[in-house]
Amino acid sequence: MRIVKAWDRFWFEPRETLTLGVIRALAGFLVLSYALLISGYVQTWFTNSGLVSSQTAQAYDGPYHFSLLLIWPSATAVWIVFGLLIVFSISMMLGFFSRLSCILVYICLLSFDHRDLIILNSGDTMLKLLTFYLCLSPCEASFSLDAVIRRRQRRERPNLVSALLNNLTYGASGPVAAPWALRLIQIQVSVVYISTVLSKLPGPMWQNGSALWNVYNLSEMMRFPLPSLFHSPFMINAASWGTLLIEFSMAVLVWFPGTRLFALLLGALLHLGIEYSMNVPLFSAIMLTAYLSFLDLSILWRRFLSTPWAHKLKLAAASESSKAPGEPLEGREAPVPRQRSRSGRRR
Amino acid sequence: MAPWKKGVISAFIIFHVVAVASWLMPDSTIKQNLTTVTFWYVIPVGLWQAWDMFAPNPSGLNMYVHARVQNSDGSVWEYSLPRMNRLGFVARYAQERFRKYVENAHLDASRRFWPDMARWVARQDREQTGKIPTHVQLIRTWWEVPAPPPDTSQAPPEDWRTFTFYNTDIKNGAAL
Repeated sequence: MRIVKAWDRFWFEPRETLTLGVIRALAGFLVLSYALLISGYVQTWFTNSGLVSSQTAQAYDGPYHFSLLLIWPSATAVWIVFGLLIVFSISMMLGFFSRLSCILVYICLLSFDHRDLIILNSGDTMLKLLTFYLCLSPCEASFSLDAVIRRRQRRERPNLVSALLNNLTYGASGPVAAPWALRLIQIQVSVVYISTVLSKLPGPMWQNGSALWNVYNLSEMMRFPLPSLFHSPFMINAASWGTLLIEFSMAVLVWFPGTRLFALLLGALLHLGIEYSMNVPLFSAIMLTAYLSFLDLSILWRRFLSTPWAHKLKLAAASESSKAPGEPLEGREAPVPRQRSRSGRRR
Repeated sequence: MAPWKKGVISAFIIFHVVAVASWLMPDSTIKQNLTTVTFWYVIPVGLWQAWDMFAPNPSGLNMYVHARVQNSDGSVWEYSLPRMNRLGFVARYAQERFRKYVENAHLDASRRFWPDMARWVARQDREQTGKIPTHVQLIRTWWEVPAPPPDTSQAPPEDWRTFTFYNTDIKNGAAL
């Protein structure tokens, strides 16, 4: 019975939805960035006059990879799907018809990914997975135009600006929902690191701490040049083993409240390093967005509201005026938000 | 949330986590048995994933693909697919897919991509020179990072090698 209760608490105990809303908005922005990055090369990568014809793609992929661009391979169809991806990514970012936007963005992303498997990088995979989990989540509940419109309709708010401000500021007293989709994002992040550590551990170069010697000398992968300090034998050792250590932290330590923040900070440091030194578009930004799933942004937001900055911006006042009881999405009473101690433990 | 709804979601969660795990676990009999079932969920829905970049060891291969196009008037046009280290910091961000493409397409196992690559290069020639391409040679040029020396602060020597991996005549070069 204890296992059943623990399962129920982990997957279904209602929690704030602000975090999901922020992840959705950032993911929408990242999908838009992805679209802008490929915009100059749509012809090259996704049409029959490009580097990979649809027949070759189909032969490489096999028959079970779904893609609208393999069903309708004409250049016109490709541009239409590309245009739709831009429109839906904007509506996903703003939270307008949020869930539908996420589903349509996912179909478009899947179509582009499966059209040309040979050019995909880790960022493409993670962006697609993040969007998939958002499709399953109540990502429209907070930090979205959907929420603003819903509140406006219910409370007959006089104007959109006031409704938007209130929606942004109600923080922890906002809607709550079962967090199972958010948990799947957390598990996915952890799985990325478990998988990567397990696949690196048998490598002699990772074992003897020289792996980053190769990485630093891949001139086609480098982004900005590294200072000469990083090329010393000591730093190559430290960075190689440090990478494994951080990836292990993000796989395991992130699950314990006492070490979570530490693991997330190390992970952020790793990804800032990757973003600086390696040319893997959007990967680090997508991973850092997924990291947010381990945080309770409503608590951070409430803390911000109690600062003088928030008073100056009059956000706190707006929040007070709009304070309403939590709005459970599943017909349950909203729990009183629990206080957290400095160590992150619930009191 | 209604208990039946929790039951359905719980079943989905278990199936989904098992499906993802089966995809990522090391090759084994269990993996074989599981993926025959989870394949039908993971592949069409697009949940396949691999996180083995730089594993088990990072590759030390620096390479690019170069093309030599012969035109009907006897002239030769030389072209390299975009090389990241020759591009500006912004351009290399937008064109990184060329690097990924070359990394995968140059392999012998990817020979099915070579005719499309040759045709695309011939088209670039036609568009940029206005000439009619008749023959395309695809050449890979590479050097491998040697084992780390005691003093890793020195850049390793670049021992470049070349190999022509695909030769083809272009039919209908004027209509590309």
